[in-house]
Amino acid sequence: MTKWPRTESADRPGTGRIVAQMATPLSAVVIALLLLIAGLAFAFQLEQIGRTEKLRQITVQAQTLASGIAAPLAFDDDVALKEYLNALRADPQLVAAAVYDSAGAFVAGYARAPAKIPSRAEVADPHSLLSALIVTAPVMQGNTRLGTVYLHSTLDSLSRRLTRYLGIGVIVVVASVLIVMLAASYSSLREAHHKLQAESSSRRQAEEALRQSQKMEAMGQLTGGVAHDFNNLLMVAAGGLDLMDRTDDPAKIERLKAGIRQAVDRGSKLTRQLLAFSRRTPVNPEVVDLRERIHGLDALLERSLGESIEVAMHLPNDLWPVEVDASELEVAILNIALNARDAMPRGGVIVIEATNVPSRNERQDQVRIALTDTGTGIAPDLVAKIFEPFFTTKEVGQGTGLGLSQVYGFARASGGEVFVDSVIGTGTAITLALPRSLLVPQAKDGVAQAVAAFDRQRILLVEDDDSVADAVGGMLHELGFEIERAGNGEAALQRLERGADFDLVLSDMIMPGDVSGIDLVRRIKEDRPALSTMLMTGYSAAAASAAKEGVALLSKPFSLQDLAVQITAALKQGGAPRPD
Amino acid sequence: MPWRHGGGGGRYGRAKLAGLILIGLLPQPAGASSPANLERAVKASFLLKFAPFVEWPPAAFTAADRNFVICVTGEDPFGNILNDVVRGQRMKQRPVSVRRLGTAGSAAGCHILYAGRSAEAEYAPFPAAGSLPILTVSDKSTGPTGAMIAFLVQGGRVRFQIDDGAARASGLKISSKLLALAVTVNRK
Repeated sequence: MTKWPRTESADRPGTGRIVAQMATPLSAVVIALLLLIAGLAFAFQLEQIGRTEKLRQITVQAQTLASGIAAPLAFDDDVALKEYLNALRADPQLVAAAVYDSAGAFVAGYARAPAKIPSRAEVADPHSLLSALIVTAPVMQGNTRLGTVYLHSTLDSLSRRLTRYLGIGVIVVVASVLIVMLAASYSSLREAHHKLQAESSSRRQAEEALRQSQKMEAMGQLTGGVAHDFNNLLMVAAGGLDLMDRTDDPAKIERLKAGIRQAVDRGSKLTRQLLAFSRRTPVNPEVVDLRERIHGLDALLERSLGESIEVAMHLPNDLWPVEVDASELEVAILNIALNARDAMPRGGVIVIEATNVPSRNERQDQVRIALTDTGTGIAPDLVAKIFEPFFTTKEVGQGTGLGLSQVYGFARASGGEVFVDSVIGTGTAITLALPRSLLVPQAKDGVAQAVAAFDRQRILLVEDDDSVADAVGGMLHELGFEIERAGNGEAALQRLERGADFDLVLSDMIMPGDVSGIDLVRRIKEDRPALSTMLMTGYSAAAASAAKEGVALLSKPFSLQDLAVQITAALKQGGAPRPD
Repeated sequence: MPWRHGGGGGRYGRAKLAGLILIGLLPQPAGASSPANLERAVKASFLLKFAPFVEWPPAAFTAADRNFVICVTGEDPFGNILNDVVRGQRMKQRPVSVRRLGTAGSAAGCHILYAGRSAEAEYAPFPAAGSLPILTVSDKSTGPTGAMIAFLVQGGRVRFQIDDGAARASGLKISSKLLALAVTVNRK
């Protein structure tokens, strides 16, 4: 397909196209030929005009001669005749002249070779031969014819005439050559343009194919890694459940339960990481005291990193608070630490250091958390790649390539940055720079208090999945709520029609049927603004859209504690409690 | 580029002209090639050829006489030569005729009057100056004086002198072309 420059195609695509189609070498040759023909016609016309002019001139000359020689001819005055004819000889173009008497006999004349003069007068109209003009004129005196004059003049010689037309000829030829050259260069340009277009389009296709194959490769890595990890977790869970069925030893059951719980935790962490790149806004930003949070990771880090790794923390007391998703922050620090561990196969020290960095120039106040290891370091050409999703130097099953990309995604979503400083063989320092928050961190509410306050409150649980409904219903019952369940959005609306004696509607976000979780929440907000609502979802895109509308949100999977805290918040935020 | 006319003083042309005239003279065998005859033939031809170079007043051509008349008075040197010259010719849109007046004939009705010599003492062939529109011609050497055009032979060729004043007095206009050819011109 041909694309034309935007300016031209916008105004008059037709004209440009026609001109382009006309500008072929053939049409250029035709134009040049036309020009040549026009030049020839012009020259021919000039030639005709010149000939006519010359003929008239010679005719006048003959008449003048005839008038002049009337008396010398009549009275046989040779001397006078000669004088007249001699005067004509001065003109080199008059190659022959003759005078005849009234009877037509030759009297006097001259001829330059190769011209000849007829021996007898032949009266004829003036006529021109190829390169000669022959004029005869009667010698009249009064009404008496005394004789005839004959003049033979050449036209300008061919070379002289050619010289005269040389200018026109040169212009015509140069113009023709110019046209042909322009057309040739234009057509070659067009050819090059087409070639370039074809090349660029094929390159685009190749790039597209490459991208596709890269995507497929990444997908392969991801699914391979995730499936491997998940299968291991499921193996632990399934095996643990089987063993629990076969034993009555409470101590063993406790151990098995702990193993299953750990497997489930790791699974939920994995899905969290998976969702980290697509989600760029923290679902639950909160003001966090970094010192407290990072110290809280102490046990987790020790358990995850193994015995050969020592963790040293340098966290000042006066660290500024930051507003981030606390769990994301924990995952990010864990991910950096895990990478540090992998860089130190023979063990070593990971130093976690946090400092306040006051604002400078355009940059606002920041808190920097640096994790420094004494590992192998990262090659300079790989430094730029380590934050790319699915990039990993580990074997399939060892890593998903999502860990550090989660770190990058978290930092960007929190309004911060990540820096890498690495020396091969010496170690790596990865620094998270997070913007300072001016708010004060909230102290954690006591769960026991909250649980006590929930007593006898009613919740409408809207959930299509029976097992999830059972699990969440069990957790809510454990917290002291009275539960009623609806299978989908329509059923929930019908139930509310019959009587809205609920304190909270807790709904799944994505359900079969015409009324989705978010639709349900909107309807309730319109019809019953006093009724509190909360959505739960495991899908981050849907969560983001809900968060935009200010709907309280519970991310699956959640623990009993998470549930208690979130419901407390929702009930506080929402309408007044029921009168009873 | 040689002159076809020839380098020999116009001999070729003259011979040719003479030859043409001589063709007309063939019936007259005696002395046909003599210089005298040739001279007469040239003069006879000139006599007619003067006419185109001369303009007569309209009165000279009356409705009564439809001819252009050349008159000869005194001795006639031409004889049949003149008749042959004018035969079939037209001048001023009229047929040309020759009238011989003898010695005492009236010149009235003539357009050209040639006066030959005469032995008579009271020979006065030309009408009084200005009385009649007649072009008068004679020989300078042998003929009577007072002619408007007088033949003379110069360098072996027949030439003439012109008395333009006399011609104008008679109401005749002689073309400057003819005047230019004359040996002498009297313009009084």
